[in-house]
Amino acid sequence: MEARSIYIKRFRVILKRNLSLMISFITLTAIFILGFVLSFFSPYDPRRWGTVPSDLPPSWTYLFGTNSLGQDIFWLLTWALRNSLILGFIASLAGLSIGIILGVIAGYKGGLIERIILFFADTFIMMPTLPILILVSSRIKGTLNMFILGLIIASLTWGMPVRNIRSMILSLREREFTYTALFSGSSFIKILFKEYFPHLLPWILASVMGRTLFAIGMEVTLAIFGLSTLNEATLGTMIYWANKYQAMFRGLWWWIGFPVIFILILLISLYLLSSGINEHLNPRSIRGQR
Amino acid sequence: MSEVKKYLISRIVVYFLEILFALSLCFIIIRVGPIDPVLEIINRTAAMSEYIDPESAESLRETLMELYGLKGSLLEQYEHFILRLMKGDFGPSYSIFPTPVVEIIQRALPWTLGLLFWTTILSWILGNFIGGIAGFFKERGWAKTLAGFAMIIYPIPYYILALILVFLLAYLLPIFPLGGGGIKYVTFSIESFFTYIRHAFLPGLSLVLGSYGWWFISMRNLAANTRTEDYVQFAEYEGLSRRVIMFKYVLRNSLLPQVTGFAVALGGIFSGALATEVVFEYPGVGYILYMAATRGDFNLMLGVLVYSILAVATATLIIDLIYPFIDPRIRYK
Amino acid sequence: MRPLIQAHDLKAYYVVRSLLDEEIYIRAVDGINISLNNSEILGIAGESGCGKSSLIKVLSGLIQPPLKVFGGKIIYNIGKKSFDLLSLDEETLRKMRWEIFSYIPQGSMSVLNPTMRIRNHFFEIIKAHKRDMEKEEANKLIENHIRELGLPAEVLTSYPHQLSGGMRQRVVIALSTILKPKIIFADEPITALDVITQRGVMQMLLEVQKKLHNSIILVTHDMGVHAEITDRVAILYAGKIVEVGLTNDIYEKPAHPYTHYLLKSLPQIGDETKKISIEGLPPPLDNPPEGCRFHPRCPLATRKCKEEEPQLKKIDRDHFVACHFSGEMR
Repeated sequence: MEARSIYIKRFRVILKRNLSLMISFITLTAIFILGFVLSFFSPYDPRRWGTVPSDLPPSWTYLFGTNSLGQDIFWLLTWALRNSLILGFIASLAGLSIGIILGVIAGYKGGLIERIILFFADTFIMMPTLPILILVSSRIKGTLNMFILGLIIASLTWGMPVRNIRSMILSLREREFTYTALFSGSSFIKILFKEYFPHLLPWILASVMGRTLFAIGMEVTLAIFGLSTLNEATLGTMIYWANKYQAMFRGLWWWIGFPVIFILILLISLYLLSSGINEHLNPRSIRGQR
Repeated sequence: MSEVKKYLISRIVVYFLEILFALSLCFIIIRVGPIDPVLEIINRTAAMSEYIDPESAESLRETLMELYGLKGSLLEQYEHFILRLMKGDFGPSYSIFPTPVVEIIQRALPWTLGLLFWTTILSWILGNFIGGIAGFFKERGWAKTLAGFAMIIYPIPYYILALILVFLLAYLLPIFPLGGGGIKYVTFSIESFFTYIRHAFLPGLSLVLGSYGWWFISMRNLAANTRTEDYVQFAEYEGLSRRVIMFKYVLRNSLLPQVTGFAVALGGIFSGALATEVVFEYPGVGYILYMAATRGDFNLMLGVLVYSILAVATATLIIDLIYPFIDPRIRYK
Repeated sequence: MRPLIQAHDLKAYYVVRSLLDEEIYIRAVDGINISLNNSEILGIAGESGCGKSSLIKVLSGLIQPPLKVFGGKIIYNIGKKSFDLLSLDEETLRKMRWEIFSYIPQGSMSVLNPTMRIRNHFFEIIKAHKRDMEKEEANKLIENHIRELGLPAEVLTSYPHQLSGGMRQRVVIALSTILKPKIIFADEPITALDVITQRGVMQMLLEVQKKLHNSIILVTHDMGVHAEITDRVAILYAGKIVEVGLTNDIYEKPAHPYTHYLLKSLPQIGDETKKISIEGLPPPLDNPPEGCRFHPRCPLATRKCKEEEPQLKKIDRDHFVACHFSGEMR
């Protein structure tokens, strides 16, 4: 209990001292509220077209304007944020879980098992995700949804965490407290959770956010190829439809502008937050060294 | 040196194994999905209202079955598939029938590789150099500003960055053309060279900016950490000038991990290049992929995928083979 | 003869932020008066964490955050010139480094640049301080120096990782002496080595001092080393000097209770008495005890010791001690 309250106090201290961290924390909270609270109050179904008059610029009735498909962009955006975030988290957490488990095994067991795991991890790291995603989405077109897309991205990006976790486990294994714990009879699993976890936690938190960032970006990129979940509203599909209807050329800047702006805000905040966590929660920096 | 030789040989073996594994994955991907690929193609052709008489339809079906290796047992199909790919036979492009996929890709590949080559080198050099100096002087105001800039650029996906650039520099201020590689007939003249530059500039700029962020940030952290190493402190004790310490002590040692980092980042950079080409209609492999995706041209998509895998794997291999020779700790064991 | 270095009431603390963002001062050097004479080896002794390394860093001008000087002067008397080290600007200080004084750091395992050959390490030093020396001349200087110190010539073309720990330490000593500095600061130069290599390195240090007629400040917790090499020795406890004097005097007639215990812990051949170590631990430097800092562990402690801090008092020709009972501990 005591350790946790110190973490909370330290968290507040860090926030106060670091402006960018605070700003990104606030913006992310705002986006979360938009995506996970407001979206439930949306008066329109994002999958339906023609619910409002089309091509109207932003006004007090239609905060972000409307698009050529007859949809209110503001409410569409709340759904898009929600879907993109869900997809991002699924991809991030699923891939991270696999990566952590395999990384721990590789770091702990060593030998042939480690070599095999590393071989597969390296192969996946090396594979260019976009062409694979395109091919796969083409094949299962129509049955794609947030969940499945998230899992597919996870299955392609589990390689990096394996390498990172493995190297962290390797260096932790050599530290003295491991030997002390082992000699006093603790099993490795116990050591893993009790001793190693505080060292791994900052990295894990930062990694979750970084991976979510990447997955959301991947979805947006996939959408230009027309291969994202075109029926659901996501940040990527909004841009897809805007491009398809030549929004930029026709002067409907709000249709493509707002999704792009929110993508920028979301991704940059995610990054700043993850980078800030890494920098400040790192056990080394807690000792007060610059 | 024999340890280095062992490493080199095993690395090459792993290279071939990795490619084999990746190709096998492709095989699985092709099989996956609720729709019979052959049937889908035929239906798609019919939907595009190209008239196919019954005999042509049947022979098309036969050819496709053979091309997709859908005849025979699963194992036979697998063998057939791998062998076919090794020979570089991807069959005809469906959307530009009957041009072989290989031909289409080989026409587009030089564009992509050319663009990639210069932009990756440029962004690597710029990012590492500036990031290294910024990391060395981590506390200065200008260093922090540069870092802020990099941290804002880095999370932006290549595609969005390209969109923004197009908006700013081709739409708002129409400096650059909106699309195309510009050259249908390549003539070796000054004029076509400049046309190429005009068309390649924006995609190039987009790629350089997109990759710059990562190199800057990672090098900055590396340099700042190296700065605290014992041997750097000792160099300061020795009274060496700051310039010497920055270049020969901090940067030189920080660049080594960046070389390996380069190998790891290649996959992402490659994907980014593909996406960027689409925005600018740059006639490279990415644009081909886009065409293939919108038309459901599996052969072409598969061809692009395999070439991508090969490109990235080979580049990674080259870097891994070079590295032992630039790190004195490994070279002189 | 004026002493080479004279430090007056030197105070240097580490400024650190706690987990909850409070500022903490770690008083590593807390009011130190010490001097170094010509052609002598001065030892600084004490337990781990007493501030020895910090003292030597400050004396040699290596003051980097979080270390900060909070008071005092360090007067250097070199030739005809006198100056306060703490008042010098960066550039002047940089030029003086290695020519006037050099520093052998703790743990020289990793003080050499992994991507530079040893010869180039020497070159960089020469380039930084003697710009106009020709490459030929520099090479000769380096090769002679290496030979004189008894190091094999192949060392020059090697990379650091190809050398053993002991060899690396010797290379560091060679690097520190190439420009023939008047003062050498050595921070635990032999602690990380095996006993045989220790001997060789100690010999090398002694020979260097004899050849160059310079002075060395040697920091180590190993009382045996002090006995062997140093001319004078200062005993440090919790950031303060508790006793200083000629090595012979200190070892034969230790005046401070702490010194007494330090010496008693040294094993001697033929002596079969049980070795005693002092109870307790060295005090935390951010919150040292009131009065005499040693009083919580001292068997002679009285109320006076708890209230009043003893100053360094002269008890013999070149023997000072900071204790209320100086001379009574036999």
